[in-house]
Amino acid sequence: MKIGIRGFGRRVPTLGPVLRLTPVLACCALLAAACATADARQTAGGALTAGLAQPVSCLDPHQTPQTQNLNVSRQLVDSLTDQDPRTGEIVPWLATSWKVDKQAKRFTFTLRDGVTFNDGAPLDAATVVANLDDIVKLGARSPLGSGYLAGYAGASALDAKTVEVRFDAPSAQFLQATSMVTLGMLSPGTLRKTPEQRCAGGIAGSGPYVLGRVALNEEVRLSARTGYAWASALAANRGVPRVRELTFAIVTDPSARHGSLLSGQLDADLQVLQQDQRSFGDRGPRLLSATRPGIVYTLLPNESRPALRDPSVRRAIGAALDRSKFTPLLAAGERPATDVLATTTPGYKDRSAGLAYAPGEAARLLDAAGWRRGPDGVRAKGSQRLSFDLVYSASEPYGSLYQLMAQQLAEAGIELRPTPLDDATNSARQGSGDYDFVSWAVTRGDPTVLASVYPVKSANPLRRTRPDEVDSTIARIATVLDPAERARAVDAAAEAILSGGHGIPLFEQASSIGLAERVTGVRLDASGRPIFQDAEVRA
Amino acid sequence: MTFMRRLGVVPSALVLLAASAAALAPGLLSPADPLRGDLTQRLLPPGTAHPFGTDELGRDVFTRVVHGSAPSLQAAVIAVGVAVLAGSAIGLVAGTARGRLDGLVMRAVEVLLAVPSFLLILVVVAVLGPGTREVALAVGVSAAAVFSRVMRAEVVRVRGSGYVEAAAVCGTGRVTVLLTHVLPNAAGPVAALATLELGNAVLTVAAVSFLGFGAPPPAPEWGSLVAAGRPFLASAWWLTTVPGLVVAAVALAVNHLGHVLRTRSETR
Repeated sequence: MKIGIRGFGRRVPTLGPVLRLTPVLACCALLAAACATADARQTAGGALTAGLAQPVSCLDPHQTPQTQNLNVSRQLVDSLTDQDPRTGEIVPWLATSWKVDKQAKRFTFTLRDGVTFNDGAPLDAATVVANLDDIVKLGARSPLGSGYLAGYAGASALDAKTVEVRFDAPSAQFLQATSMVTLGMLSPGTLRKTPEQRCAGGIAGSGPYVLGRVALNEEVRLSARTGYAWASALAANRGVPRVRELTFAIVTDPSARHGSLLSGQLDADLQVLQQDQRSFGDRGPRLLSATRPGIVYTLLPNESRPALRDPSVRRAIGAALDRSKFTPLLAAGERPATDVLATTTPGYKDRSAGLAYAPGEAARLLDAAGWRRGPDGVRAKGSQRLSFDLVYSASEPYGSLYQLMAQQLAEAGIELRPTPLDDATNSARQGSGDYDFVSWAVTRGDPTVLASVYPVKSANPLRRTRPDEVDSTIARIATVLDPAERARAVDAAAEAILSGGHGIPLFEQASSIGLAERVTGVRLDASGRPIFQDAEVRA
Repeated sequence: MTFMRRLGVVPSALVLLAASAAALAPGLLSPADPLRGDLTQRLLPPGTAHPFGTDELGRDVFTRVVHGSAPSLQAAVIAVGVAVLAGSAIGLVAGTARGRLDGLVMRAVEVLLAVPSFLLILVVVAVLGPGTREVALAVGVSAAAVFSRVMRAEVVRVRGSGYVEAAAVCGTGRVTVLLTHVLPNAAGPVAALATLELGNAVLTVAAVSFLGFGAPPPAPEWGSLVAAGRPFLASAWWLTTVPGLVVAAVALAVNHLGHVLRTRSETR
C-alpha cells in the first residue's frame, strides 16, 4: 500500500499548474474589479501607451491587410492625401495639389517641399513612382494594394516635385486610394529591402513617428520624429507630435486590456468589447467609436463546396438570418447590415428589403432545391447534410454572434458550426480553402472596395472560378466618374452580389477605442484608425 | 481517521452524487435547452429564475453547467480508464519479464515522467486535433506512466510470495498465474491511485478545454464555459466564477473521497 501513497506524493508537484488555474481566474475577476477603483497612475505628459488586441505580424503597409498591423503602420508613414472622415473629402497631405483628367486615367500630383524620410532621403517624384511600382510588383503579397492599383499603366516623374500616374482604364477610385495607409510612402532605401525584411520592421517612412523596439507578441515602441512638419490638412498640430513616446502594448485578453485602461496602466484600448462599453461615460475614460466604411462584416460562402455551389442554398441562408436580433451583441457604432456596404461608404444605399428575415422564403428555397428535414432537424439531400463550418480566429470578438446565427439557422434546418481556431491554423485553413464559410470585413471609404473580395481576380475567399456579372459590375464602379452613374454602378454590383447570394451581409463594424480621461486629441481617420498627431496626455 | 476528515465525507459525496446525476440525466436536473437562449434575458446575475445567471446569449448558465458535466466527467473517467489499462499492462509486462525488457520499458516510462504532463497532453492534442475524446485520450496517456510504475512494483512484490511460487510448481501456465494470482493481488494500490487520479483528471480536462482544445462551441464543457466567460470578467463575474467553482468542488470532492477510501483500506 505504501507504494501507492508514494506514487501519488511524487505526482503532486506536477499538478501545480493545473490546480492553480481556478484561483487565478478568480483573482483576475477580483483584480479587474479592484482596478476600477484604483487611482489613475501619473504619467509623464510625453508618453502614451495603447493596448493592441492582436499581435503585430508585419509592419510594411504595402503588404499587410490586417487591422492591428495597419494601426501601427499608419503612425510611421504618410500618404499623398488624407480623407476627411466626416465629409469623405480628399485633402492635401504629402501632395499639396493634384489634377485628374476627365477620364480618370491620368493623375498628376504636386508634392510638398522639404519632406524627408527618417533615414534622411528626401521625398521626390521618383520616390513616389518607386513606391507605386513596388506595390504593383508585390502583386499577391499586397492584397489591398493590388486592388488600389488595378489597371495601373505606370507612373513617371515630370519633374522633381510632379508625378504623373497613368491607368489603362478609368480608375475613379485611385484618388481616394492615395489616402489609404497601404499606399503610404516608404523611403527608397526601404524599397530596396526584401519584402520579408520590411515585414520584420525594417521600414523608414516620413511619418510623425519612428519605429523603435519591436518585441514579438509584447510591444512596439515608437518615438516622435524630430523635425516633422508635414502633417495632413486635417491635423490641428502640423509639427512634431506632443506625445514623444508612443507604445503599442500587445494585450490580447480583452478583460486585461479593459482593466488596464481603467487602472491607468494603458492610456488607450484600441478594441473595447461591447460588454465593457457600459463603463464609459461623460466622466472618466471616454469611448471613441466610428462605423468603419467599406464592406460590412459578411458571411462569405466557399462556392467550390458542393452544397454552396447552389445559389438558392446561399440565398436561403441569408433569408434565415434575423439580423435585427444581432443588436444586443453589437458595440457602439455597430448595427445590423442594410447593404453590402457600410452606411459610411459613398454609394451606400438602404437595401434592407433584400436582407429581411424571411424564414418562409428560406424554407421554400431549400425545399425547391431538394433539401428535406432529416430526423435530427437538419436538412439533407441523400447522404449529404446541410452542415457548414464557419472558420474564424479565436481572437475575434464575434464568437457569440456566430453562435446566435447558428441558432437562427438551426430553425431553418441548416447546421452552422462556428469553429474558432488559433491564428496559425486559421490562416492555414483560409489559405488552403478548407472552410465552408469565412466572415470578413474590408475597410475603405470607397465602393470599389467590393473589388477586393468578390471578383475572381481578388483575394477571392468565395473560391469562384468563372468571372460573371459580379466581376463585370464591380469592375465598372471604378471606371465611372459621374456620381449618379457611379451610384447606378454600385447598385448593379450590390444587386449581383445579393441576388446570387455571393455575400451574406451581417453587420456594420465599428472601431471602438477607449481613452483614459487624461488623454485628449486622439481622433479616428476615415478608416477608423487612431491618429495620435494631436494627442496630449495630461500629467 | 480524524474528525475533520469524516466531516468532509458527506458534502463530498453529495457533490459527487449531484455531478453524476447531472452527467447521467441532465434533463432531470434542468429541462431547459443548453444551446438556445432568450436574448431578452441576457447577462442576468444569479437569481431565483436563473440560479447561476445567464450568459451573453441569454442561455441559463445552470443548464449549461449541468449539460456540460457529461462530457467533462466522461472525459475524466475515460482518461483514468486509459491510464489504468495502459499503465497496468505496461507495469505487468515489465514486472513479469524483468531483465532487459523491464529495464527498457521502465526507462521509457521515466522519460515520459520527465516530460511535464501538461506539455505532453498538449502535444497529443495537437496531433489528434481538438475534441472531448481526444482530450481524454491525451490526459490518459500522460497519466499512464505513474500507473505502470506502481503496477510494476506490486507485481515484483507479489511474484516472490509463496502462493505464486506454489502455483508455478503445480504446473499452472505463466499467463494464468499472471492473471489469476498476480494481477488481483497487485491491483489494490492501482485502484487507490485511480480514485485520486480522477480528481486530477477532472481538473486537467477542464484546463485543456479552457485552452480551447475541447468540444467546439456552442457545446458546453466546464473548461470552455470558464474560457467563454473570460471576456466578461469585468461585467458578468458569474460566467467564470460559477463554472470555476463547480470544477473546484468536484475535484476536491473526488480527491477527498479517494483519500478517505485509501486511508481506510490502509488501516484495515
